[in-house]
Amino acid sequence: MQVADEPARASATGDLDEDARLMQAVRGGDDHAFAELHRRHAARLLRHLEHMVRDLAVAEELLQDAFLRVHRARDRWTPQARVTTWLYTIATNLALNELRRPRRRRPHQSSDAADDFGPPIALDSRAPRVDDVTHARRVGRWLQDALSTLPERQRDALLLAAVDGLSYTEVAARLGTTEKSVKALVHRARVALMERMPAPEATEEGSER
Amino acid sequence: MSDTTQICVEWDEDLSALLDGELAPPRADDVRAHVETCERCARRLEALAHVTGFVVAERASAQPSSRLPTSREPAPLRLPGTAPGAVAAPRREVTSMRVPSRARSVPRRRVRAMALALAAAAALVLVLRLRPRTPLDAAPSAPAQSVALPALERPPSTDPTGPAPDAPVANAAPKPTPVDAVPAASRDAALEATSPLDSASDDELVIVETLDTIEDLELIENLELIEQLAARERS
Repeated sequence: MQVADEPARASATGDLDEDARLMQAVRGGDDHAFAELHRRHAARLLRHLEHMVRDLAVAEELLQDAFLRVHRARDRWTPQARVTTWLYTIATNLALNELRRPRRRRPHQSSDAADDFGPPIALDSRAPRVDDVTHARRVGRWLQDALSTLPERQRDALLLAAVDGLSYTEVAARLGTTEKSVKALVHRARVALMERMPAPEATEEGSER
Repeated sequence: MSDTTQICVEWDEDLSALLDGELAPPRADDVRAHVETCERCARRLEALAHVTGFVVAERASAQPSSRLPTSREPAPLRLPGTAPGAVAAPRREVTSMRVPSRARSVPRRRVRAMALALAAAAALVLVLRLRPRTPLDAAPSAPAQSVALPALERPPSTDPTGPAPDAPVANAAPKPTPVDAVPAASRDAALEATSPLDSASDDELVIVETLDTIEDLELIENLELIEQLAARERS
């Protein structure tokens, strides 16, 4: 499937342009632009990671690792791909690795200890690769619409739990329901979005593989 | 993206809960162990995680972290091949922070200073009761036998037979009034009337200067407590 090239997204907010501008600068070797990118997104991404792995120290390591991987793959980034989607894809893969790691294994070791970042994480052939900029580009187009089609309570539950980091207990209090209902609502929201999400394609022209 | 026709029903909802950290350890371990052995659930977990990441990323694009109240700051970024700190640490923009309770407590040195101040205040009060008054030229004369400290506000009395808030009580400590309710000029004048500053010692001047909080003023009336504090400080 071919995806026609298009100019960088005309953004509804200036922040999308800012991320793209910074990433362009990073591609040009501007480390201060990368530090600014880090400043803009690190806190929220850290919260997202900690929400998944439930360990602040590990989340911080994953955060650093994610940004370092983005930096390593900076030459593969294209203006059509949303930086945050790409960043979060990388971070989520790292967190999934950690989440599935049995307790008896060694804890996560960040990649900044050596120049060798190791092979990109490929948890599944159908999951987006760590540096799959193409997938990030595709995802950015459908997500806004997909979220708006969710039933209101599902959307609210998912945003409160996943984005705002509230516990199910807190979400239940907010929505005036039970924890069991929140668990179901959040899961249904994820499944609904997942079913609408475009699959990463390895055969696209110009795809980063 | 995923094959939704074939799922492990008994585990499916728990996959989301695992991502949200909402599973108790025994169940979380069970789910984790199942994912290790079930490729279908492994793919499902990954897809659920990624779709969540995209949702958060969407919000991140609209509202970068710098605009959010954060309770913790990520560690500065260190790029390989650069000296630590070579890349300027992200500018810390704190919009709001939860202040640890210990940061709100009165520092120990301030408590010590207050104790000393209170002890000296006790001495001041005793001294003022004994020395002849020397009113300032512009200050109204005050009764020689009483210490006209700024009025302090006493908490409302629960005794229905107790005195009215404004009624003078003989031989009683001055009634407290909020410091804020007393105009600064009047407060200062009252302090000066009771303490002839021209002849006051440095310690006394210090005491006067520290009598500027409602806590300080309220404690003044309990001289016995002050003396106890002073004795404790000396020991």
